[in-house]
Amino acid sequence: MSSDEEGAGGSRLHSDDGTTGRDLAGLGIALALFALAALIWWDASGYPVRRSYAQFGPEIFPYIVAAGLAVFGLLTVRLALLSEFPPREEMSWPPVLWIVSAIAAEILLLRIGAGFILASGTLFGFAARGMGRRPVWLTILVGIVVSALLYTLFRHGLGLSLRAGPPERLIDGLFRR
Amino acid sequence: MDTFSLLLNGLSVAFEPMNLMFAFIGVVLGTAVGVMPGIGPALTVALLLPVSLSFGATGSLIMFAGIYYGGMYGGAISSILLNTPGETASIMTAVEGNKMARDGRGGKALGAAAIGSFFGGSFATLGLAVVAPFMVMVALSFGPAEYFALMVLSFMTVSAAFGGSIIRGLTALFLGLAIGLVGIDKLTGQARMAFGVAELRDNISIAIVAVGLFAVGETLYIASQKHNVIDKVEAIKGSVWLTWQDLKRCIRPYIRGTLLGFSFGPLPTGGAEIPTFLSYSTERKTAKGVAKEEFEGPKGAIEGVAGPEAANNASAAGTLIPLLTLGLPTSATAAIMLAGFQQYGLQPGPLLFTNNPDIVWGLVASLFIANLMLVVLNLPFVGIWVKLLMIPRPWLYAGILTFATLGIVGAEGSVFALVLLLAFGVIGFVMRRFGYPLAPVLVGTILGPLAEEQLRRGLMINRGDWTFLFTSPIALTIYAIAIAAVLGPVIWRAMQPKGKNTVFAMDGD
Amino acid sequence: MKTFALAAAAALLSASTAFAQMAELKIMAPAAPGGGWDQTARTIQSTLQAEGLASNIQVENVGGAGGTIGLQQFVNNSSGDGSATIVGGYVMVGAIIANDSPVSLADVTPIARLTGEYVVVVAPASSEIDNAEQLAEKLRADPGSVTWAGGSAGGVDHIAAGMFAKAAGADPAEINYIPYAGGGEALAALLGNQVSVGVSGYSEFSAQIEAGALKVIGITAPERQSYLDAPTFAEQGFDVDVQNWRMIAGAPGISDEQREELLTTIRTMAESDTWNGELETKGWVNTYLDGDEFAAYLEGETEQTAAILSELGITQ
Repeated sequence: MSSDEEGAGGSRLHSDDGTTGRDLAGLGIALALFALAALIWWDASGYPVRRSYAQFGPEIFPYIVAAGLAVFGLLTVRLALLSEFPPREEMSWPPVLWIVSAIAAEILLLRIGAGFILASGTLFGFAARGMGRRPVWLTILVGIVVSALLYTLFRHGLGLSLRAGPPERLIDGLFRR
Repeated sequence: MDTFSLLLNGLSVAFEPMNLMFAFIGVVLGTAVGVMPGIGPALTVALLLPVSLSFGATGSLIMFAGIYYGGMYGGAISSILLNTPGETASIMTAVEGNKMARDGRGGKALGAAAIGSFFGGSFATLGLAVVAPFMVMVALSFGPAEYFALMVLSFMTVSAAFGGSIIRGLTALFLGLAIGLVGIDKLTGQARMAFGVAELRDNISIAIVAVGLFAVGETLYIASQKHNVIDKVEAIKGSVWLTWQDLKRCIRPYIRGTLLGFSFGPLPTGGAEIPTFLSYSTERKTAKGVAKEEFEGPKGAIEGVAGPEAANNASAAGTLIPLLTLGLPTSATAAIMLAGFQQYGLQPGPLLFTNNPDIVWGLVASLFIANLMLVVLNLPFVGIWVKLLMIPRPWLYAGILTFATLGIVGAEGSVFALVLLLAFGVIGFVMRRFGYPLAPVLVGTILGPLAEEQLRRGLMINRGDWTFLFTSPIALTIYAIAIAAVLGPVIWRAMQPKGKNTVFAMDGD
Repeated sequence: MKTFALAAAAALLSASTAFAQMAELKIMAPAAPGGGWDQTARTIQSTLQAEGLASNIQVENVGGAGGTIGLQQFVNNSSGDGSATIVGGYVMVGAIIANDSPVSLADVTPIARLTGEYVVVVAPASSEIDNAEQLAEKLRADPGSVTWAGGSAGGVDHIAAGMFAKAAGADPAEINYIPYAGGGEALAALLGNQVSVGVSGYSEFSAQIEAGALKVIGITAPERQSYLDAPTFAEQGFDVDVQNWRMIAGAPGISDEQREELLTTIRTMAESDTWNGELETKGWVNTYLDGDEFAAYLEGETEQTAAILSELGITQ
């Protein structure tokens, strides 16, 4: 294959420093795998013993999964020490944080009862800001308009139940007649 | 023959104006969304699953079939024009297709893809109509031993087929198995991994895992890239229509691609990737004369588009066989369609054909219609699809996230589902960054609990006697296939000269 | 599709009917859209609208943990609200006990039992078991040799199997009950002769019973049912009376007038042709019971279920 075909599967750019030394982030993944394995093992060890004609109960599969995760945790440690992960592009944090906080904001707003439109509008606004569009008040405003349309469409068009807050009650009132 | 009267009856169901409309909407939505980079038919179906509730079982399943085929074709459009495969099934299409587009023959590539999709899809659907009833008879003889063997086959082939690294593939699979543990154990009522959280007493919905890993993870991944690649849409030069000469070159790749796709589709090997890879390498190896020059030079060969495109649509139809007759999902989209069936209280399996023949044959017939609509819609409207790619990225991805959370919140009715969605999004992002394939996670989440249930059910029926696993000839045959499927490629690869392996080394996540 | 058109038609109809008894009604379906409780809630919605018994009816889905998550939210948020209702059923009774739920059905105001489905025990046509007495004998001799295919552990099918074992003089904890994802999957196991008997709601097996592929060992109804030509367990001498019922209840702490208003509305609805027509298309059986009788019934069900779940070994 000639070199100009690379883009099909390999749009990933190659960083210069990714190939030397130990991969600390990779060790982090291994650590997460060990923690998950331990959590599953601990959970399974607490099940009450039940009689079953199968001769084994709900705890066996979790033990197998936990053991498997631990084994692959060890192999991941090896991968990380030998730096055998594919090279990663340099990471740009702010957009990622914007998008994570976009979803977190929607969760928070729904929890305090602001309703779907405000919550989803904020999500939209933060996400668009994260991908490079500003100012954030404008993106949120666009998000609220989009979400209001979606709410009307899905709540009143399809009967999907979406959390209602003050703005939603206003729209519901229009449909009540 | 009974099958054909049932199929005719199905056609009459599919030709009802309402159902025609659902097929139409499905094809349009599927193509529209498939064109967007990174969003395949699986995600589209996942998003529309909760939304389509009010359409009724027949209507929404017909729509899903349209989305599935539409998504496949949409992927081809962005692969050819942007060199960005919208989903894994069209990776191979990008290789020759984009070369053709740069050569000013993008229209011909799109034409070859559209007709290839139609050819592969239609003939495989015909195969589905003929083979599916036979598969039903086989399915009834399947007990826990045979099902468990099938699960083993799926696990082995899927983990061998996905991703460049076996370690990362299996790690992803075990992560999926761990997710599958969460919730009440069906056989005893014991809550597992719930930690006193009421919401965790149910199994984590596949939709949350899929949308989190794919849509949210993909968005985070794109956002994290410092050097945003600016993609340029290639103009369509010349006629979309293929000359007689072009068509003649396409016929053999169509036939080979269809055969490959249809025979791999029903096998639990993880969808359309493998047949498209095989189809591409077959075409490349058998090319002679002008075609050989085009494959090796910068012009791009039409055979390299025709074969994989026929293969991926044929495999889409093939995928429906185990889904409808055995209830076994062999691809991410099929897995989500399975969830769609269950939502309407339909249990895919041998009895779906006896209990809901109108739905099954209506679906089979609507696959024909969906295919036909694809060609009708896409040949003249390629220019319109391309415009979707011109939505500025901030609005595009903000819209994707809004849609994803709308679907989850609406379906689950709980804010906790969003917490899970965010968690899976971050997991998906980390996995993509470190080169882990995502599909095995879904496979593990879906098949893990099934494998466990079948094994324990078999042991209950046989009162703790393990030998039942190895006394069934069907089960033994499946184990043999599993071993061959895993060892075969290794041996095959070892026998290949080194230079030709590059095609398979690409990771298809 | 039919329901969509029907709901749309109903919405149009109610818009043109000026007279409505209840101005507002909220129905919580403590399950994800598409399931039995959700369908019940949406059928109530469309019927009340079509009959002009209420306007502005909203259905809210809060799924999870056998309905207990929705129930908890309902009890906490709608106390004293006369327009708030919740749909539920027998599965909830078991789920509250098994999940150790902080709220129970004693916290809501029972209105009425709407529909119910009796459980049937069936065997493949070729089986040597013909009637309840033969099944009981086999159970007494070797309980592990009889494999039962049915729905989830601790669910209504499991409970019915346990009650039969008890009535037959066997230990419910000893039965070899094999849970399947649903009646359909259990049916495949039965047709493939992998299990001895199947136990599930009548509708799951009805097609194969009519086709003659399955024979009925007994049905858990107190008297013979018109749709099924087979004996009940009661007439074969085994006291097994179980039905998988669905109900509607009001908020906690509502006044007697508010309760009376809901009761009248629901009773009128249950007597309407629209409602009974809907039940027929969906294959649901009308087992309407309301007011104090229903409240007493609910209490009895809770006690009985707690006892049998502990005998089955589901709860400690």
